[in-house]
Amino acid sequence: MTLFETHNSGIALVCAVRCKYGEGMKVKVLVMPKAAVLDPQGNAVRDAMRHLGMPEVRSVRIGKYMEIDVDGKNGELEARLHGLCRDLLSNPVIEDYELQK
Amino acid sequence: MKFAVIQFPGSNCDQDCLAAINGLDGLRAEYVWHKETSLDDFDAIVLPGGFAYGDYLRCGAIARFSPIMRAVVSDARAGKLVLGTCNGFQVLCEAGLLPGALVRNRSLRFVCDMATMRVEVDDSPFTHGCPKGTLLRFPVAHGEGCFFADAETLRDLNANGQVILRYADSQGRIVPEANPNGSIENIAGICNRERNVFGLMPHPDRASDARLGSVDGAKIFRSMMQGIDASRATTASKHIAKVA
Repeated sequence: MTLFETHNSGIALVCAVRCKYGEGMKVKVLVMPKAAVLDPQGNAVRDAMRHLGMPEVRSVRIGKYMEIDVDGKNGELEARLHGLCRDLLSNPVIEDYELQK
Repeated sequence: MKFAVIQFPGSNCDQDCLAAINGLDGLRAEYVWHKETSLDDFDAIVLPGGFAYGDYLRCGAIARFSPIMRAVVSDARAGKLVLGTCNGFQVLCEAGLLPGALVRNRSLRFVCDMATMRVEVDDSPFTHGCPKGTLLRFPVAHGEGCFFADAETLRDLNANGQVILRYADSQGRIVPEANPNGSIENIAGICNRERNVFGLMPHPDRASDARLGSVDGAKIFRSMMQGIDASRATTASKHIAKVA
């Protein structure tokens, strides 16, 4: 089986699961460093922007953006997603997260 | 006395740890693959450096969910000695066994250098043989080793004597120039409140042979050995007292 075929059968499987359990949802997770945590990456980009002719830039903070495709839609699923946002997708010691549906 | 060196996919200091430990009299180290579930046969646990799971998402974020981590956490709670170097330190923080977190170096550069650390606490099982103020030289090699903790956590760490090592200059002064990564208060290594879990960014495993420029790392492993001996003696005497 070629890689392409494997990939295709994967898609078929996902479709089959979809059909069985109904609609899914797309959630977006934003993870940002907490204000107290130094963001040297953001500072470097801020400086670059100032150098490139925008001295008005006050600050830049760099975080992460994730798109997650999930089967199902119920509230219990959302509670579990929040759980994983806290345990895996963000580290509450240094980051805040926001889950958008 | 048997030490477990945990191998995650992406660990790359596992061999350094094994060689450093096996090079010491009375100590033996064995690899334990991250999919194992028990560490009952071991007296101490070492989480080596590297890039477990490619450091995807955050350093240590995925490794902390490896099957072996359940055993690491439960054994740590039961009092077994756990040492995390470099990536191992990051895994211990992510797993909640140590407070705080390690973030991108302030310089945004990967640092690969020899660092000097001052021993701040000498009554931990990891620094028995190093009186307070001793200077140790270990290599550092990391891009995300800047230790961060919020003000309250930092206060607790200092108040409970959990800061074991700080980056220092050759005179033992805690100065910004000696800080390779921007760690808060020059913190290089911390332990938990119970003092049986120790994490540090520098590599004692790469400083346990004179040919590598420093043998200070061996002091940490030897101290762990003495700590285990001492706790065994206490357990034995308690047992004898109970029997008597």
